[in-house]
Formats: sequence, C-alpha cells, structure tokens
Amino acid sequence: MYCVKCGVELEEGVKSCPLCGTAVWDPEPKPRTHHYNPDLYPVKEKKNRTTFLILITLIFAAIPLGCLIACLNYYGHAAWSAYVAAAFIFVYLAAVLPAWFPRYYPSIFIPVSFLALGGLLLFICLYTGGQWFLPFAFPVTGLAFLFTYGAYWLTRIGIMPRIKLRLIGVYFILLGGATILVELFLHITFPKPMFNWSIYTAGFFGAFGLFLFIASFIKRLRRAMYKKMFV
Amino acid sequence: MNRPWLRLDNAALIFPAVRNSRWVNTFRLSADLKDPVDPGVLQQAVEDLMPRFPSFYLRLGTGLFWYFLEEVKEVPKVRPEYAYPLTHMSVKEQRRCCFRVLYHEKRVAVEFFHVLTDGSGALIFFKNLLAQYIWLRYGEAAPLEEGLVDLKEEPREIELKDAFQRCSGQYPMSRREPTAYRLKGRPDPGGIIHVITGIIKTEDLLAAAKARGVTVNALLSAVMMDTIAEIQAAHMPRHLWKPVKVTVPINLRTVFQTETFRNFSLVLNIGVDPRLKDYSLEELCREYKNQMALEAVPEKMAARIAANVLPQWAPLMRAAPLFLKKIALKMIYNRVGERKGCINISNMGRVKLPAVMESYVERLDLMIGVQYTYPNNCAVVSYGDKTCINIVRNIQETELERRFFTRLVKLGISVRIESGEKEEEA
Repeated sequence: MYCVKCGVELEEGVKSCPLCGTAVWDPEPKPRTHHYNPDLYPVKEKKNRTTFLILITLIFAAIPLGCLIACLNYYGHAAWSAYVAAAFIFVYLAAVLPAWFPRYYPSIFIPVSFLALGGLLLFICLYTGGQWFLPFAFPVTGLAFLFTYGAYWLTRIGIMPRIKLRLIGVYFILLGGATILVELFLHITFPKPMFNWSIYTAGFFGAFGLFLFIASFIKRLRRAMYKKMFV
Repeated sequence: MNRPWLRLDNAALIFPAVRNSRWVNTFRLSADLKDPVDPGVLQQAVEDLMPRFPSFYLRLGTGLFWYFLEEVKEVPKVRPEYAYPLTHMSVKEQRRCCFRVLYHEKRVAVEFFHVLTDGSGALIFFKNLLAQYIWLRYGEAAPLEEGLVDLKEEPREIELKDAFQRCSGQYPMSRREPTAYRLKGRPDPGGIIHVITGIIKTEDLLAAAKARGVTVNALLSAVMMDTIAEIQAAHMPRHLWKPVKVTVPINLRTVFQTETFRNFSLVLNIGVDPRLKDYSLEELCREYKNQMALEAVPEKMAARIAANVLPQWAPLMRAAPLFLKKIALKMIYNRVGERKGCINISNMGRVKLPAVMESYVERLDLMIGVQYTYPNNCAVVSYGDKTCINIVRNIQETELERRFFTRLVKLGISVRIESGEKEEEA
C-alpha cells in the first residue's frame, strides 16, 4: 500500500498516512500488524500539594490561636493578638489561598488579595478607633488595586507593540496623577501640607509616560530604543 | 557505602547540568527479535552483564562540587515498555540507574541517559546483551567478534577511562560560529514524543549516494539540509533567513584508536547559508564532503576537545560549588550547544552482528530524544539489508518528516513508513 500523495510505502492496515494525513483507501482492509507502542499512555504525575497546604493552614491557625491564649491569660481579653490574627488571615488569603487551586487565576486572586488588605486596614482602623479608613486607606488601596490589575492586564494583552507602548505611556501618566491623589488623601485625613512630595513623583512618572507615549509614534526612536533595551 | 564510583567523563559533565524536570538527554537502541521476548531470561542477561560492564550499571549522584557516578544498589529490573519511546527519565530514576531495559512483544529496547555513554559505547553493551539473551534463551553462543566481549574476563582499564583527557590538545579551538535556523511547531499537548520511521533498502541508499560520489551520511545530511532550507523558505521572509546546519556526531574511537565504553564523540555542525545561493542537492553533498574533510581531522578534533577539557581543570571552575557550575554550564550550553544546528543526524552506520545472532535479530533501531530546543531529531542505523531512519518529534506538525521522506522518494529511493501513532477507531 502506498500513500497517493507522498509516494511512500505504508504499513498494512493503517487508515491514514502518518506523514500527510491523507486517508488510505484499501480495497481489502487488513488488521494493523506493527505496533510501535504499547496501548498505554502515561498518567501525568501530579505533584500532591495537599499535605503541605494542610500543614501550612495548621500553622496559620496555630500561631494566632497561641497568641490569643497568651493574651487571654495575661489581659483577660484579646489585646494585641487580634492584630496578629487579622494579619495572618490577610497573608493566608493573599498567599496561601491561591495555592489550593491548580493554577493562579489573577482575575480572582488579585481582587481577593486587595479585598483582604482593605479588610485588614478597616479592622485596624475600627479596633484603634481611628478615622482614617474611609478618607485615606480605602481610596489608596483601591488605587493600588487598579494599578496592579492594570499592570497585569498590560503584560498579558496581545496587541501591536506600538499600541502597547502607548498604553504603557498612558499608564505611567496616570500613575503620576495617582501619586498626587495619594497626597491629597493624606492632606485631607492628616494635618499634612499639600504638594510636598507628589509633584516630584508625578513629574517623573508623567515625563516618563509622556516620553513613551510620544516614542510610540516615532518609528526610528522606537527601533533605537529596542536595540538598546531588549531583554 | 563503599561502592565503586567514577568521575563523569568530560562530555558527560554537561548532561546532568542542563537537564530539567521535563527534559533530559536520552537515546535508545532497540532490536526486533524473531520470537516474543522472555522477560525472565532478559533479566538474567542484564544481571550477567554487570561484572563485565561496570561503567554502565551506574547511578548519578550529586556531590558538593561535581556530579559523580556510583555503582547501582541493585541491578535494574527489565520492564514492559511504557507508553511511548524515550519517556522522560526522571531525576529520581537517574539516581537509581542511568539506563533502563524495556521489552514489548518481540522488541528489546535499552534507553540510556547520555551521561553513561554515547551511541557507539551503548551499541557494544547492547550487542553483548542480545548475545547473552540469545545464549540463555536458545543455547547458541556467538563468537567473540563484531564488538562482543568475553563476559568472564575482567573489564579492561581502557574501557573505563575518560578518553577525552588523553586525547585533548594543548590549544583550544573557538566554538564561535553563526547561529542556525531553528525548527518550530506547536508543542504536543500531552508532551508525547512521536516517532516516524522510514525504512529503506540499504542498497538503494548506497547506490544513490555512490551516484553522487559521497557517503550515505552525506546524502542523508544533504537531503535534510535541503528539506530544512525548504521549510525555512516556506515560513520566513528571505531577509530573516539563517544558516541551515545539521549536527553530526563523530565517533572519536576511530579517529584516536581507543576502545573506551564511555562518552567519546564530538559533534560537528555542517551546513550552508541559503541566503548566498539556492543550493542544489549535489552542491549540498559536495559542501558536506568538503566541510567534513576540513574539520574531521585528528588535530582539529583535539583542539575541539581541548576547548571542553581545559576549562574543566581551571582552578576557579574546580573550586566552584556545583550549583554555580550548573549555572555556568547551562549558560555555555545555551550559547553554543543548541543554537548552532537545526537537527541532529546521528548515523551509526552499518551494524554487523555475528552470523549466529543475525538469524535471531530481525531489525535494529536507534532513536535519540529531542533536544531541549530542537523539536525534531533524526537517527539512522543500517542492519542487514535495511536502513531505519527514525525521526522523533515533540510537536504536532509532521512537515519535516513529510518533506524529508518525499524528497527521498523523489530521488527514486523507495521508502516504507511506520509510525507509533495510534489511530482513531473509525
């Protein structure tokens, strides 16, 4: 039997040519004689992380509990051990929780991490009787989330390089603006002067972003930059 | 605790350093016998060979400064063939034994981690294994010729020596050469290594090579270069073309007259730059022949060996802990190891067995695993009146194989194709 397309001789009983995939028409079909491989496929070994994760979880539960017991013994109420517990919950949600899943899902875990951070800050604010959560911690955490998520999205997105460069430029300009906002929130919440440091960061990020934004329109500059800076 | 051990030979140093959890440099020899394999007898044969071949029954150990090879704790068990040829040899398995013996129906196969030996050394071991198996199974003793050794003798010292050290020159040769085109494809989703075998009558191949005044290896390499140049032309615009080169291992045992069983081969990258000219097959054959005549000479080989051996003994290199050495070796490997060729063509040439064995052994195959960055690799061995060309791949496309074998068909050479692919039941 021969493949009509490749002209090579084939084994008895094959249904298609292994080289080009052309179907083989055999007037007298025969069973396939030669088997290279046994009819087995390997079971992919999956690394079992469960034991390790359970151990980590136990440690994460045991340390705050120990602190709580110590606190109750000394003070009769949960004094500083509440902070420890809150911090451990935050670290667990941000770092250990993703490990329970087969892979890291950024669209879920990045928001979860920032929610946990927000929760931690809210707790500390309420526990200490502060007034700084709503005017300062909440918007700053929100901004940090937006920019982290934006950075992730920018690295993943598959678009033309020059458009991407333009977007990165915009990202840095916005980042510069965000630093002004952070100082504004500081100014509102605490008795701090406005425009003390943020003009420098905003100026730096803004200029860098503007440079990238402009460079994205100039082909020669882009090429020259790539030559010097590719990784 | 006091098991005998060996230093790695110079060529072997690189293999454990560049391995990773998904890839390791392995190759495989297999033989199709007349009858189905008896695993008990095969196991006995494997055990019988151990005293005579101490440089094979080794496991890879990790020291503070170097890897080392230590005698195995127990003789490896023969196993039924598992899934597909050249399945990944895990680090755990390398720590147990650096080769495995497999059987499937009528086929005996041995898969070696390259740290033990090269193809020619492995062939000696494999021939002896087959001879012992045939002796135990059928009671027919083969005469001690064609590489067979007396199993009752003590191993000779020269067989266990690292021949690179003795044959190294004084002055190293630069490894610098242009980077070659790299074959590409969509990786196989299951990480499976596929094999397509082309079986050709050796006479046809010899006649075709003779008509062009070259060796069989030159013809096959020329066809391969032509094929890869075609693929490059089909996928790349001309201004991005790169040189097309095949990596040909040279067996140094014949060059330096030594009989070591350990690694003793070097690779040469033979190729042309298709940007300069559209080379015809005859011109490619001529290029191969000329470049080979220029490069495969003892003094240049010694200089190439020196480039590998001298750094091994540099005081700074010796004193560096293993993890630093690994980084250095990986960097060297990435820079000069795999970027200088497109595909390996490992030709074992014409393998002969004693007449007694020939009636039991129907076919021999050689396969080399894919390289870390080459998706394809090609190995050739002639036995009896057949030449088996095994092309392995870890990608989905069969473009290289299709173009290569149809090119041979167009030269008037009849090719029979076999593959390990399982077909969907219609």
